[in-house]
Amino acid sequence: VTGQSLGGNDWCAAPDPRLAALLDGELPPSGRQQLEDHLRVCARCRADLAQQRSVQLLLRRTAATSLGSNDWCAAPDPRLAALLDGELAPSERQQLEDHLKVCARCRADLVQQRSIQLLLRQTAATLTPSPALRAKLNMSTSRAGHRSRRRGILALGGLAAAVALLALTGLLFLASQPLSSALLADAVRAHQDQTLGDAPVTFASADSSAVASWARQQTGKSFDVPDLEPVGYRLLGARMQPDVGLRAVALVYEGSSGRLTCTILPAGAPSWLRWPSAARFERVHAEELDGAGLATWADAESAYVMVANVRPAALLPLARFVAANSP
Amino acid sequence: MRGSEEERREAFEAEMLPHLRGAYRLARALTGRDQDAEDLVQDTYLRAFAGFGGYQRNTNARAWLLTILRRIYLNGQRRAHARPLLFPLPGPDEADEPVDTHEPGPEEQTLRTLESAVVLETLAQLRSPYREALALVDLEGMRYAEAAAILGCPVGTVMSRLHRGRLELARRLQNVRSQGAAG
Repeated sequence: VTGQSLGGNDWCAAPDPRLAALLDGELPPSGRQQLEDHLRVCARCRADLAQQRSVQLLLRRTAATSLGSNDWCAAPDPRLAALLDGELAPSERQQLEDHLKVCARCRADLVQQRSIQLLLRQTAATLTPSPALRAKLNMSTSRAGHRSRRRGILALGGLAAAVALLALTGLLFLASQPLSSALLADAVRAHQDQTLGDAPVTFASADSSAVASWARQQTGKSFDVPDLEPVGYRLLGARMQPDVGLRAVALVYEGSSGRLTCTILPAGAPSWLRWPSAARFERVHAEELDGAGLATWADAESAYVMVANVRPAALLPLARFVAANSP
Repeated sequence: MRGSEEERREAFEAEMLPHLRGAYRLARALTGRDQDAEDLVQDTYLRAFAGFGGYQRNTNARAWLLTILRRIYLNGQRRAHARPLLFPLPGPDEADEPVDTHEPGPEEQTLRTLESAVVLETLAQLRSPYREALALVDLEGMRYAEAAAILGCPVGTVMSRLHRGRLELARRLQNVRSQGAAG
């Protein structure tokens, strides 16, 4: 583009080199005013200034994206998450904000991130634990304190029995899971404190289907209530056993050797997750713990802890009978 | 003896119970179900109480508690082989596909009105690393450094997990919405 080819006296012979400085804001006020006056009458200089501005923009975009001349990153910058969360250093933030001015894909990414962030914040406001949980926690920590005191009082024999149980059942990994061994101790304690007490059940019925229905209502889980009549134990009823597991149900039976507790822990609860897989735990094991006989086993649906004040050798056939007759 | 036990319990409750809701939120995001979340929280408080002697009082109780919660959850998952990584991340081709909007359009607006239950259910389908990062930062409002301490990873990893997790959650929620509209 030359003044000659465009014709007319309104065109400079050559564009003013100070136009670049004008564009970059580098001219002193007096020089800027002079050049702006000239631009009003010189179409060539106006064309030159527009061309310089276009080149400047293009170069800035290129510098910001470092990806060439298109407006899209190959993949959005993961620092966009940090930008949204206010986790970027000022220098990085400025760099990313400059980039956002020219990259539509990163802008879209940022909008999407913000949408999800807002959505999750709204969701968080709706998440409240049930009022019962706090009460359960109070009870749990209270019982845990009680348990730790009892452990202090218990002779080493109790601990040795627990270790022996773990070794015998091949569940040595439980030794690193204090809650699991505590769970067995809790089951024994519940038997001694509640099953042998004056009110062993909260739902009294000898009808196994009625007890199963009650347990299902309490827990939302299906339970199979074992029938021990063939081995001399009649069903007294059931109670919830939340200190062993939130959805644990203790079934209480009575026979010639006294009362028996069969605590069922349905699969799915974290306490269940600490049990081994059914394949590794399908055999029934019996041992003595805290002066009681204790048998444990599991199937695909539940883990079972049976406790009675009989020798383990006497408890084992009962446990095997239940395990063999479970669906 | 009895007195010191009571003092210990009171100190535990004073430090840890204020974080019950935060623990529940994380548990809910990890397990995807109310009852499992409450079970997990109860186990966490039991374990925390048992290990309270090892906690340095008046430090970061929330981070300590949530670290325990996460460990219990992950241990349980490992032992039970419970939930495989169900959904792969989008492949390189899919990730490179340009997004054709940069302002909150109708789809984003709809995302914001989805019910919490749907959001949580979809969140629970994400891979654990993304779910954890979203739960700690977006649900729980943690800074990256605190989340990184709980997750045992660098701050930069938290950032990239958040970034990909949010995009993946957005994609899944759009699918949920599309299926809802089609059904």
